[in-house]
Amino acid sequence: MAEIALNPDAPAQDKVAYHFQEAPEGTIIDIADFNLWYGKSQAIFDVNLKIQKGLVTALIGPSGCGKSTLLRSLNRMNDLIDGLKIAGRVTIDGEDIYRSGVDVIALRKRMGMVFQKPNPFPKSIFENVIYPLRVDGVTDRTYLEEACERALQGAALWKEVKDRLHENALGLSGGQQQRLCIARAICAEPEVLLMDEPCSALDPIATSKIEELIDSLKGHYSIVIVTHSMQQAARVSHNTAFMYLGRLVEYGHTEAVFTAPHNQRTLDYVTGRFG
Amino acid sequence: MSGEYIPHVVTAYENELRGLEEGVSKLGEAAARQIENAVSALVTGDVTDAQRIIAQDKNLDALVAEAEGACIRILALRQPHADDLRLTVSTIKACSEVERAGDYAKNIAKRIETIASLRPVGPMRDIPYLMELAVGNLRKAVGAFVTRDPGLAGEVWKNDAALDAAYTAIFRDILTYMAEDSQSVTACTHLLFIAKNLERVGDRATNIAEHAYYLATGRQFEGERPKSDLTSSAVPAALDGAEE
Repeated sequence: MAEIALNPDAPAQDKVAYHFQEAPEGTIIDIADFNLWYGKSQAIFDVNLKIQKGLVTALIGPSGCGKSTLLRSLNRMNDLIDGLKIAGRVTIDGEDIYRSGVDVIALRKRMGMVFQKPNPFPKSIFENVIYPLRVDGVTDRTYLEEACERALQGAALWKEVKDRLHENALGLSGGQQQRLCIARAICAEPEVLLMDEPCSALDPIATSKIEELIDSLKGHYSIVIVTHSMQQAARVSHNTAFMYLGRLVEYGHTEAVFTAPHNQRTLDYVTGRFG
Repeated sequence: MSGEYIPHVVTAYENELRGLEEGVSKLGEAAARQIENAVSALVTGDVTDAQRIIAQDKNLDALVAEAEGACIRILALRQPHADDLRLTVSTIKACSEVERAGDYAKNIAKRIETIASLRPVGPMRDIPYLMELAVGNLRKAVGAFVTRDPGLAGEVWKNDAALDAAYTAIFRDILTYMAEDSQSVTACTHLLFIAKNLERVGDRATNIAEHAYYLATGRQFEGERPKSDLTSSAVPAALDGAEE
């Protein structure tokens, strides 16, 4: 991995500060000259961002800065919004995801998503976890049971629920429900996990468990996490991207972003001096 | 990084951080005064003053503890980031440097009674000069810290060479005195320790300058510090000549 670059000379205000650490396996998602409009209003301006394979990337920025929009653009969750227009390119492993003829369902399988509020289906824990496989038409019971255990182990929930796999998932606590959703996401064996504020509805203990989980998932998955908690971004991520008013301001090594950011706006934001 | 300073949204936090800077500034000045007073008491042989300086070291220690406590509170309660984090951590480090500089003043003061009871010796005349260099650097380093001036910090770093050179000269001078007049050995030995203490004040100032540089830029000083402390190989001037 690249060495930490701390505060090089003369950071230009109008230029994006790049000092991210590169993964040995390189870039998995390459966002190039990306622009996005909701009708007439532009939400994302000229974003260039290389998400690194196997690393955790945090997207931070004030509300309305475009970080969730950007996250949702990665698995085309924004497609259904009326008047949505995009320009630029997003590629995963070199494949353009906005090319015509892309199988969006297949794309979303490669990119598991976890939302702010846990959203288990009103089904058993077991059925929740293996839902992606059911959609694929898998019926082999043994295979499903193994996949369920593997996913729950991966989401650090197995020990807590192994004796009640057939109880309703809505009976789990909020933190357990969120880990269940992560288990469901990883059951489809995605390459990327997109997390949109996965801890904002959870108490500190449940938050720690999710953070521990993120730590154990890195390497196997490339994780992109949108978070309002800068402490969380600092704790869990390798690289941090700071967005402001729809633009990328800084994309760098997390340690440097939180100790010596290269851009004045990043500094003002991470220190809590936002005007 | 330049740009207009924007205060923190949380005013109490902003005030706490500014309080750290004020604390370092106050501490630095208190330590500088202690050292100045110790040397002037040494020159005048004022034993009462010396006692007062020794007693005052406790106040300095209490101020240091207070400033360090404020830093720990900020770390625990505010989770500072970026330059705020650098300020908090660098303040803790700078405080312990200042505290040590204060200890040297006390150490000098402790020797005053003994020296005052002995016959005056020549090298005493150079001690105030050494003190001025050391205290000047200490004040500059604290100034660089509070104003976040990396240029000034670099100046302190370079200036330490002049202090080292002055110390080496006094060291040789004292050795020569002792070699020539065995009656002066007791006073000269005490002066030697005092000179060493002042030279150490300069080292503390250099360390504070390093913290100031890091605070201002997020980077460590690069390269080797210029050094002119050659006392490890110094011999008295008379013997020096005799050897050739």
